Amino acid sequence: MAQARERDVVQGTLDMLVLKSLTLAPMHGWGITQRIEQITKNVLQVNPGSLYPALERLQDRGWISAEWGTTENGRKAKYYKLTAAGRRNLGEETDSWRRMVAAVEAVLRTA
Amino acid sequence: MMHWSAVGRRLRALFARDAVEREMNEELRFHLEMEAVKQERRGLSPDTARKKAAHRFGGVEAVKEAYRDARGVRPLENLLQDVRYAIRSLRQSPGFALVAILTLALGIGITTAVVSIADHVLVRGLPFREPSRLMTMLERDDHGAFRTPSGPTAADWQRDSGVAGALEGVTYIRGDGMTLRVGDESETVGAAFVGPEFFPLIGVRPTLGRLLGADDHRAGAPRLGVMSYKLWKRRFGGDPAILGRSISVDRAPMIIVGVLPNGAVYPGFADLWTPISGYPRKEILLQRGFHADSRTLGRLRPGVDSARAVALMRGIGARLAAVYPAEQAGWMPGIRAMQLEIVGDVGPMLWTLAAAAAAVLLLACANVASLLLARVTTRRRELAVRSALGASRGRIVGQLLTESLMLALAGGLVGTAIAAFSVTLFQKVPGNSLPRVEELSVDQRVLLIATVATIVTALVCGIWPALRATRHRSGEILRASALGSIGVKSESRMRRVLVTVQFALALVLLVGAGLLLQSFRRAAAVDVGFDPSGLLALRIAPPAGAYTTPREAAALYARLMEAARAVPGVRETAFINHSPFGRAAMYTSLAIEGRSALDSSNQVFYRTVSDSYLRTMGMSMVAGRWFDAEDMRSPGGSFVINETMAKQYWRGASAVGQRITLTRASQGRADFGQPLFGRVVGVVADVHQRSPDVPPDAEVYVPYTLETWPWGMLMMRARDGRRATPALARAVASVDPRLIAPGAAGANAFSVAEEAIAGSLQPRKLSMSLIAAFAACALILAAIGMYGVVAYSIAQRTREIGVRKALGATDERIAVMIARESLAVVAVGVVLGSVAAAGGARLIRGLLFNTGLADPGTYAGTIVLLAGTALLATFLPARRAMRLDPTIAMRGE
Repeated sequence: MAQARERDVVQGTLDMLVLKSLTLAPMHGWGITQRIEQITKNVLQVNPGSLYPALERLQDRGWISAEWGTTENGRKAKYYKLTAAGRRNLGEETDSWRRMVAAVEAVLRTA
Repeated sequence: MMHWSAVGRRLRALFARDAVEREMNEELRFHLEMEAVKQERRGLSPDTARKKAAHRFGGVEAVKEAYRDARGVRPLENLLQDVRYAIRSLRQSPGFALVAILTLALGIGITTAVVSIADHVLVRGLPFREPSRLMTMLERDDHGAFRTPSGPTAADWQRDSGVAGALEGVTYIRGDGMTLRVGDESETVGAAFVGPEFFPLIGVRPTLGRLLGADDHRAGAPRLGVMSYKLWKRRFGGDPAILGRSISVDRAPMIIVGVLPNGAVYPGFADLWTPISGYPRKEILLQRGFHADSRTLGRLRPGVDSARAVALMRGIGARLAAVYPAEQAGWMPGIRAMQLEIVGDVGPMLWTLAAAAAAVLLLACANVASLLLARVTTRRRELAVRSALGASRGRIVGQLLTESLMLALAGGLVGTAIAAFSVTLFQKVPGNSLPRVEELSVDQRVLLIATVATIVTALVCGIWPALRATRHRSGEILRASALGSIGVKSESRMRRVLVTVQFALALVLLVGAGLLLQSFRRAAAVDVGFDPSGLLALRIAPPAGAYTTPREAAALYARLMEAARAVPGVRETAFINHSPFGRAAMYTSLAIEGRSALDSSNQVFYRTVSDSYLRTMGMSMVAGRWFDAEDMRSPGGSFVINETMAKQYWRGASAVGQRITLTRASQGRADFGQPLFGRVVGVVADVHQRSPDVPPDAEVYVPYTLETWPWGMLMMRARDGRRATPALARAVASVDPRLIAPGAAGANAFSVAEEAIAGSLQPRKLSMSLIAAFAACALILAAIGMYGVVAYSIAQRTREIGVRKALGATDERIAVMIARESLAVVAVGVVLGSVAAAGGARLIRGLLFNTGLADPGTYAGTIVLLAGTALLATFLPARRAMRLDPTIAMRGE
């Protein structure tokens, strides 16, 4: 395990990543961590101690909703689903993230 | 930005906490299992996979805490937890909880009751529009005497522009007695003859029907009246059919058009309000010198205070004095808040009661704070453990405060019940003379007061012990508690300070109670100027239409005196218009020959008496002679005055032989109100007219045959006192059965002089009893405080006492040692309390009678009582210390 390469996701970014991973289908908490690690090829690791409070927070804002469902193995799990407001917010967040990344990139290029 | 659903989620987190926790555990377990499965798929053994999963997950409890924090209900959750914890811990020490709750209930209950009574009488206004602007209008002279303006003067004021600048309006009200007849019964009721401006000025809405309008005051209008709530309830059973009904008033019909709300009575004597245009004795309204039996009421303009108003009215005062020097010279317009006229001077008494109640609440708080201090001392280890486990200081203080809040809430609930009960009880105290007491009730304002008292109490009791308990660092305590106790000594000192304050407060209350008790005893011992033993009085009011001429009435009174004197055991009988200590009294204006205007109030009490009155009452002469039978047969020209009047108007020079003119207030008969000329033939020793603690006023006696009143008082001296009343009732009935009700009702109609005198001291007795009750509460609370401190200190010092005994200290030495400590507390308390009492006694100066603020007997008695109480509270726990077996005590705890 190369611990140094694995980063805990910064808060704020985490919210965006959670919302993004829920765009295709509702998912449970563990699924979200797997999806983020899978997409980032284990560069970003999501700590449950950050994930679950983030899920509470996102529910408070009305961007995701939660309900209990069953996995393909017939196991009960809590599924989180993106709401319309959450989808709108993800769009805005993505735009502003891209703008920031571009700006940082520009700085790094000139330096 | 919080979504609406978040509110629901928070409510669920609070009230379905178990379900939410279960779901969280389920979700996290699922997470862990999935992680383990994943690791297993990578080829690890199930056991290793689980360990790996757990490692990657992190600390489960920490995750849970973070999860819980994110629910956003932590503070509330903490509170609920604190409440649960407080209830649990209070239930573990029911004795402590019970004592604390009862102490607080007593304090909160008493304070709430007294504050709501004071609030009702002093703060809440009269049932009129903006009552603080309503003013009783007066005339004052340079000597501070005052009188009500005469009708013509009031009319001049109404037209004056200076007065109009000060007041929105002025109205003159004429008072008189009228005979109300319902069925066969007739009674005299107070009537107010008012102008059309009266009701708009005073600002009141009728409970029933309407008020008197301008049309009702026109000539030829039917005779209309508005009735008081009390009369309506008492005489007509509160029947709404009273509206439009014609009742018989002074033997003529009067149509009732409205009923005023309960308590809306002005002037205080009135039961009927009727247009002044229908006043039968119009000549009185035109007499510039006639001041009796009227009120003049004004309403201040907004923004004008009373000093400004008086200044604005100076002009008219000076003009009237110039035009009518005989009547008006030296008299200037003045005003006084109407509130004062109605509420009277109960202010000092109520403030005293409120202060006393607050002191009792403070004492109760001190006791509970002391209990809490002792409790946190014993719980210090528990608190230290909680602190070591990560509870912050704020959290522990919060939790301790929650506990005292729970105590105060329970105390507040019980206290509110006590308050409601006391207020009801207070209303039923016989002879309660507080104004408008019948309207008093426990309402939401009282509950608000109770709530505030409760919360303040909780904070006052709880904050100090809580802060002290959490001052030390937990490690220190955990280490120290093995040896004994840290900080116990300073806690004991704090509790001693509290007890000292308690004894100081108790001293203040006891001194107050003692001074009032002393005043009451001195007032009750006053020689009233006549012998009240066995003296009876019966009001004689002939039925309407009977004995209408003065001759017939005088003959009736003579027959009644004779018939009553014939009853065995009755020594003397007499007749008088108004007896002393009765409710009614009459004044007359006085003019002295050779003097232009009198230098002070020239109103004197006016009594029409039979020649037997002096003997019957057991009064004595100072100079000259009393009336004889000849004066009664051919009255005129002879007056007897009392000593006060002789001193007031003749300053020691002999009053006998002086020529005076009386113009007394008219009452009930058209032939009254003529001036009476005559000479003073005698000076009689003073008789107290209202109460033993009110100095006698100037008084003039005239023969009852000179001006025979249509009613009066039959006075009798019977050897058996009240037991003679059935026989006396039969004697009166034998003269005319219509004069007295048959059977027991007739016998009960007699009033007993001794009871009337005691009754006049009732307000004094009431305030004294209440303060005494508060002082007793204070003493008991202080004693409990002392007991607690001594018992605790002895328990702490068991070893020390054991050692002393083993070294040869006798029981007496030990007892003296403990008693000395208690007495030191009392001594400091006495010094502090005496300083406070010296200041506090000013508050009750007005309530004292012939008693100095620094009455030495009162102080000495109080100090002895306090020391005795302290010793008693010390003795009980100290006995335990004396019985200690040194060997057991030394073996330790």
